[in-house]
Amino acid sequence: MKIWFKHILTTGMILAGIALSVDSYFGMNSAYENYEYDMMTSPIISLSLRNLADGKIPYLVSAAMGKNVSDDSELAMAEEETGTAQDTQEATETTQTGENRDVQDTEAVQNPEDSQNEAGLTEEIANPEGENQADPAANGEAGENAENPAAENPSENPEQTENSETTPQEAVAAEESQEIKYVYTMTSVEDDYFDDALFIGDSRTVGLSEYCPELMERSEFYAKVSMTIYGTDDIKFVEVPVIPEGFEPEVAESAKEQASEESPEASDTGENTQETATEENAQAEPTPTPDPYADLPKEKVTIEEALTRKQFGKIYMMLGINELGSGTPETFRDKYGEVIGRIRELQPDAIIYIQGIMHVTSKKSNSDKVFKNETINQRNDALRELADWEHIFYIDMNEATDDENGALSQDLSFDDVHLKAKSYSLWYDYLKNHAFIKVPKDEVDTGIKAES
Amino acid sequence: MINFSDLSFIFRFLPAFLLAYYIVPIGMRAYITVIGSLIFYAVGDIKSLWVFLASIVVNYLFSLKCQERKKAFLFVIVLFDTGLLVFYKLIAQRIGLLLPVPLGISFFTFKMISFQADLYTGKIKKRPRFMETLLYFSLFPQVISGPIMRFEDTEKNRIITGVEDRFLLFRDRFSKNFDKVEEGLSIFVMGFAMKVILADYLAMMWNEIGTIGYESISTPLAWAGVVCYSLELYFDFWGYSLMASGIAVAMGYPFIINFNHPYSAKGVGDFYRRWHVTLGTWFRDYIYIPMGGSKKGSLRTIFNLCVVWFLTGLWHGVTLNFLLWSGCLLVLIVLEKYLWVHIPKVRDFVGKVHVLFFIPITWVIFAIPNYNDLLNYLGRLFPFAGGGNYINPFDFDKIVGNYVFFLLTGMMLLWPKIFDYIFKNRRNWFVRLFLLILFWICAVFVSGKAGNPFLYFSF
Repeated sequence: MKIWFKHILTTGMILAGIALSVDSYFGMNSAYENYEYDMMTSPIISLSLRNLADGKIPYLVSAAMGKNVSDDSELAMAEEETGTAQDTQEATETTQTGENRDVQDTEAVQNPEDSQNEAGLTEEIANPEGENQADPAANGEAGENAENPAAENPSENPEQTENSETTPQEAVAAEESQEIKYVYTMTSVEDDYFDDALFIGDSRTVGLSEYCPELMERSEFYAKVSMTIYGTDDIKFVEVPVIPEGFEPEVAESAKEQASEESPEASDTGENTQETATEENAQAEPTPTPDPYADLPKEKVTIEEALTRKQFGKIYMMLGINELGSGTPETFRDKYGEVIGRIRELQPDAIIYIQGIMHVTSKKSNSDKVFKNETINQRNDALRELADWEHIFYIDMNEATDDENGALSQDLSFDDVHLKAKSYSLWYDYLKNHAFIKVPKDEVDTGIKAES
Repeated sequence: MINFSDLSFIFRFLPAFLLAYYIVPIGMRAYITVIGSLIFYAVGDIKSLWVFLASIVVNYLFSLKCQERKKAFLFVIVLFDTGLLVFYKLIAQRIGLLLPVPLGISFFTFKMISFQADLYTGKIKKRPRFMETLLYFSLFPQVISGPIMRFEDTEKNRIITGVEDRFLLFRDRFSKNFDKVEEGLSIFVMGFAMKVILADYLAMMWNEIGTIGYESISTPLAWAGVVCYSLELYFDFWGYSLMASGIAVAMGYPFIINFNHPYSAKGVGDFYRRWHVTLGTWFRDYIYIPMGGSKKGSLRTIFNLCVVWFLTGLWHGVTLNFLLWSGCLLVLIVLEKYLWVHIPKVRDFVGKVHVLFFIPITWVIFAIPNYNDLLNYLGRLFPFAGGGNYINPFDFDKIVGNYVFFLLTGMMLLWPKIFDYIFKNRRNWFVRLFLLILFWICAVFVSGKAGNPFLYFSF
């Protein structure tokens, strides 16, 4: 016995090695079943070690403690001591999600009206329904709306009639409409197009946020290394101001005052209101992050939560490289579609751009089991199906960065996956030349839809 | 599996091998080592196994004649070994043969040359049997990247021959063997930690710098990159060497020092007596001294140094940057040897500047094989001529901020006392307890990276 104790290093390696291997063996089909494991390439102990690397306690320990071991929830695996803290955390989370649901519900209720309104939206705005459907999201600066309980909105609705007129962008291209006013068309735009743009993505979009000077100063980025489409409601990393109860930013307040002043007129004379409303909208849009929020403390929230706090004009998404090794094009598309659906609910006025996943270089594609351009193309084809070419558009920036083999050009990348700093301008130029704007249908004689 | 910091190696091959090594009858230890080593090589590079085995057989046959001081045989076999190395590393690709470079060829051919030369000069006195020759060349801890152990060191292994424990009672033998394993593993863990905690993370930082593109990094980041790459290379290779030596120690071989605190050196010449020691002494013993060393006048010495450093550059790689790298070192060494040496006050200062300032820069030359990339990098280090585009001035804060722990820990370990304390006290129970904890932390680190390819390669 003494000799084993004397050789503590070897003994400790052997004993812990055996213990963790046993733990892996028993946990293999339960707690660790989500870990991809290939007996040929790695020892069984790797399961338990990976579990530790993820910051969870070993399966046998948690089983012995009588805790219910669930596969996904990190919280359930947390140690007993943090139990109370954990409970409160869970509680707050549920209330948060509860609030979210409220917001979503009200919007969901509003949506049918929206679409009705959209369908019927013409120059005669004296649509009676318009009064009810003031969408909190429609106000470009409605940062405080997220804080205001959704219940407050209905009471304000009658006063905010003009808000219904700030949404004519929505109305375009509705097919049943007899008098279509606008269609979306692809064109080249100037830098200021991106003033109210949001970019959602993984490390590649992080790169864009760091090496595209034009976008750095204009747009917002909810991008994070190793982000996936499955992380939009899960990973908290977007910094947003914590708005204290009763905090009313000046900009928004003045806008509200204006609104209440003008609203009586709105209900009376329809045609004038539309003009004022669009004017106001035009004024409101170009002010991006309002200063009043700058001094507030920040909190980190998920992308979806952040989208309830601020409205954007355009949302560009590029996700998919990190989930290339899991699921199928169909499961990926379905999840992506789900997320897009939720974004549409939260951001009804935004044009959503689905960007095809950027390719990797031939070198990478030919040598890697997972990161293959064929797989990327399959997924991109699936993503293209999500576009409705009314609010959701598909663009593929690979056109700007591919070589003749349909792979990312070798000279644009160092690590075969990311663009070098100097290469991001190609991406930006592509976005500038593939932007959708709405134009009056009269101007587009042929009435081509964006698809062509 | 052939990577020492790989979980399959640590939790499968190594324990299985050590167990077999100490369980089999004493006379079988050499055989089990050869079998284990050949399996190890085959897993790494089965296609080249025949090249490896054939060259061992050829070398064994010639060794008999070399020991009889037949100069012609020595000449032919050295030509053969050098030719093998030059053919696979220099010629095969050039003439369009898509032959894979055999695993560890730079190291086993050097072992072979030293073996033949030592036989010829009589440094190896006994006649090596085929089994011993095979064992020496194939020894798995050293076969991939050294250290280039000399044959005479193999004879110091009194476990594999059974000299040490053959006549002991089981209890005493067990205790003795256990000591060896414990000693070897403690050295292994030191290297493992350097590789896993420092080198691997610094390599990620270096990769991030490359991802930006050398033309677009800010000058502060370029300098951080110099520090990063220098530390990465150092701890990667030192860590590897400690792991390799540790395994050999666990089998009863003597500990081979491959790195002896190079950054505390007094000058470039001193640095390379402390850096990759087994390679440096190989060049000294089999090239520099046979050519006359420094005993035949200054001009001849400089010529000899030129030859040694030219070959050193070539050995590391065939691209131009390696020659540029070794050329810079040659200039610094010649300056130290013939200019600064006359002014003692300046000498010490300049030596330190060489080691702490110029050597890290030479590592950047070493790191970047592409000529334009190298020019871009140097242009960002010394931005006098302007240049550079799409530079984000916050890149330093972001990247260095992420890796500051690894950079600082690495720099602290340049101070010899920390490592020396742990190394000297490795038999202290508490130090070994510390190493045990360190080992499991590292194992968790590795599993987090290797077990999940999407975590390690997360974009």
